[in-house]
Amino acid sequence: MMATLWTFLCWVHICLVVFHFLIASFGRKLGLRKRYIDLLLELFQFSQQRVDKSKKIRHSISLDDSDIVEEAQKLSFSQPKYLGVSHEDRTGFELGDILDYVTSGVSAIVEDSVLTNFVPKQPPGWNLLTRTNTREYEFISFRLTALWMVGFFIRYFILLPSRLFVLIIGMAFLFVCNIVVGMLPDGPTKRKVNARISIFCFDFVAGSLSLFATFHNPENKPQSGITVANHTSPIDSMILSTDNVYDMVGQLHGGILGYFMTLMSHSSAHIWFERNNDKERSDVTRRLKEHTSDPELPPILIFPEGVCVNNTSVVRFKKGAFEIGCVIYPVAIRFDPRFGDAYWWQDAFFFYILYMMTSWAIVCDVWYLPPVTRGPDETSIEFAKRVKSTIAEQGGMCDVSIDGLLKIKPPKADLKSMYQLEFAKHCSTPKKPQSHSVSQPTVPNFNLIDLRMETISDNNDHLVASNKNSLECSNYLKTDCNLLDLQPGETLCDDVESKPNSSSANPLTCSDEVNDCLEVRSSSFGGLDGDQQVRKRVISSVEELGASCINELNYSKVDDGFINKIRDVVEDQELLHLHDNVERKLSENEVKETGGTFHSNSRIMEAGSLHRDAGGLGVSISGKEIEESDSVLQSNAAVPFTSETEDKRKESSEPDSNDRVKETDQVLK
Amino acid sequence: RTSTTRTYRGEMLTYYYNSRYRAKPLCYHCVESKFRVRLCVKCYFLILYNMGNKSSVMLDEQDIKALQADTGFSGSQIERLYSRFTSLDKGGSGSLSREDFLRIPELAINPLGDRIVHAFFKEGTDDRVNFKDFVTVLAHFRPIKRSQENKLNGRDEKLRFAFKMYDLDDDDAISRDELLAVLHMMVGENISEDQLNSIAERTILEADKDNDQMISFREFCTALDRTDVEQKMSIKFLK
Repeated sequence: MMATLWTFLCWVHICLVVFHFLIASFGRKLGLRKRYIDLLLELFQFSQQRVDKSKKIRHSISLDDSDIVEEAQKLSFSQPKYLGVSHEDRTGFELGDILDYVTSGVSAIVEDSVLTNFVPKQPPGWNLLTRTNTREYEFISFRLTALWMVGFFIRYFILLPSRLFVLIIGMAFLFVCNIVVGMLPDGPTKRKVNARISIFCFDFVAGSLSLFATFHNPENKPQSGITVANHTSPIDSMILSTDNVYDMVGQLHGGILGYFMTLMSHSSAHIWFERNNDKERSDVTRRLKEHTSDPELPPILIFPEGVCVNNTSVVRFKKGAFEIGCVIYPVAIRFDPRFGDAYWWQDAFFFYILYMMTSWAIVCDVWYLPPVTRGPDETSIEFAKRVKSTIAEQGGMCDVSIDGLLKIKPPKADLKSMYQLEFAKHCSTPKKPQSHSVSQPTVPNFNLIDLRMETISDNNDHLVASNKNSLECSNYLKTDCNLLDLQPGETLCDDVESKPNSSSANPLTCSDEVNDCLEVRSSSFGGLDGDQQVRKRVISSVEELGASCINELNYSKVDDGFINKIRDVVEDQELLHLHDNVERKLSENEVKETGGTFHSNSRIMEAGSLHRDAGGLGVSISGKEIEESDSVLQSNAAVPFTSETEDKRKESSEPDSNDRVKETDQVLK
Repeated sequence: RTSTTRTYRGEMLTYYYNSRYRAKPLCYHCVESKFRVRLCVKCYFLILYNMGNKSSVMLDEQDIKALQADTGFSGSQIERLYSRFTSLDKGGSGSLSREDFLRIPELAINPLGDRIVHAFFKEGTDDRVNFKDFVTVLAHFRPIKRSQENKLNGRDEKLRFAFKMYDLDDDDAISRDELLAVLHMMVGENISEDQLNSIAERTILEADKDNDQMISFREFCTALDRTDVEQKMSIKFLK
């Protein structure tokens, strides 16, 4: 009795599996898939009603908070700026200046504009899957639970095995077909045969996920050229291949997948490359151009976003595909999250496939958009933006301009330093007193000049930035000394305190450079004081320069480019003259090794003075004076030197200072 | 491992030998003893529901009500914050570490990012933030409403949060070194050391009224008298 019941159940089970197999594989033509989807929709509506009923009981209507608070300022990734408002009558740093940064940070914790694109989105109702159950953390009703259990059983024990079966057979089909087609001679027949067979095979395999895709506007179906689409999951290319044949571009994987890829390239002209091989990557552009110039070949499928996005928005397109110069066919893909989420958000391939196979179905809409070409005045970046907005609009997704790489990698460290730079600019403008205003335009603040932001964000070129900065620094230094034409002892503005009073805390009225400059002019050139000032001046200007070049130092060695920058700064004629003076003086006296008494930034000079290889600017100075000036300047900034310069410094401690002084003279000149 | 029994009341109870649930009883009906948690029927189904779910933190109604009372957020705001919390919690452990916070790109490029993250972590506990602490800290930034009692988001509390940004060692006073350190964070390498020193000295001089070379909380509040703290330190929390 029990045995017969058991065998009966087994047979029922197997029949259901086979039935589903037939539906899945061939059901598209028969319209059975659509009926399945509709049935599911009704089920979901039922469950949603239940949930809503219980929710109403649970949440009392809260008082409507009319939030009169403005949006907190978000930190932009392309245009760093100072957050906050500068008042006209008070500038410079205040305690309350950090408030905007704090608020911006906390609002980023609550909701930020990057992660929202990459987090799987919950479907609006509950679709009887536990994985979408994050909000329904309360037991709702027994009936719903029963429904869920039935659904669980169906998904895991009926659908899953049959889908696996379909997958295996489908892959075998694909394998065999590709071999067969690959054996045909190249020509138009091969392409036709390949087209029909590949569409059929992919459709079969797609049945393993119960894929139900609706293709709109088939008149715009791409015939050649490049097809771009938004990217949500690894199966995007498969979805598109169920309706039209494409040639893929991608990197060769290893293992079975790689084998499949090579197999596929026998039957059609796919473009595979090795990602690690740089030469091949530049080769890809050439191959793309060749491929698109032949109108007989099938269109190439490219996903310019680069990463998988969660289908609520479209992130920045990379310009590579748009530079080829041929016709672009945009395609918009939009998934329906109620049935199953295909978004790839974790690296576990096995669980991804498992989740997809135990969802109800994968339902999506595909729109073919009319072909576009690049306008005569358009750059490829603008063209990419244009295409992106058409895709986003058609698919009903947000058009977001963040960089897709932020999903994988943290943002560049420069951005933080640029925000720091902006804040520094705000701090460094001196506190203007209420009454007196300086008539000259050269209000003495040390102007870290506006870096061109777009060059930074596009090219990530530190060198560009720091070059400009150094030029400006040097210009500024020239300006205030040479052009101001002040008599010794005359002050620039009322706020410049003469040296003896500067110990009282009234700092940052005029910058120290100006003070130094005036000192230099006013003091005699013979005494040691003048030298000290000069040295201090050189050091502080190098420090500023070093400070703003710090990023560059992170990435490059102290080399010729860097020397040139320092030279720019020091090329203030008067300063050079004084510097020579100093050198002469020093060469007469005994010069000892400095050996690390300068901190950080001034080590640039130190290291340079000690060996040729580091090639920095060198000023060998005697120990006593170092200590004096050292107490004045204590910079905690860390200059990341490579360890080899450190080693060399320790090695070569010959007190051959005279040679070195001459050497630095040569460097300077 | 589970085993089921029937109690004298006719309810079906399940024993879970699973240390994952030992941390907290799931609801007030569940009973926790040393090695096992005896779950009530509702929670049993709850766990079953959530097996596909990576997160092991589950809120129930009592939790939400308690949070509502403490922080003043509405139920749907708390739900929203909860889904944000779980999306940041990559490991599904029910708590956030500093790396989880700094994974947010906009926080990573904020010069004060580290200080803000630090504000979530209470000293003395290990380096993870649970949901209750998460919401409590965020409650400081709720907009002030005249009609409600504002326990956590009044002007004083907001100022206290800002004060904690400066006060690195939590001694209720901002010393010159602390101010200097924060200034360093804000300006990076772009201002020389002595200039920063002078800025710090000037700031302390202006704010310090009792001449102890440190800024106390009261002095801080007075210094920020003219700033519209309520507006600046409020965030819109969507429902």
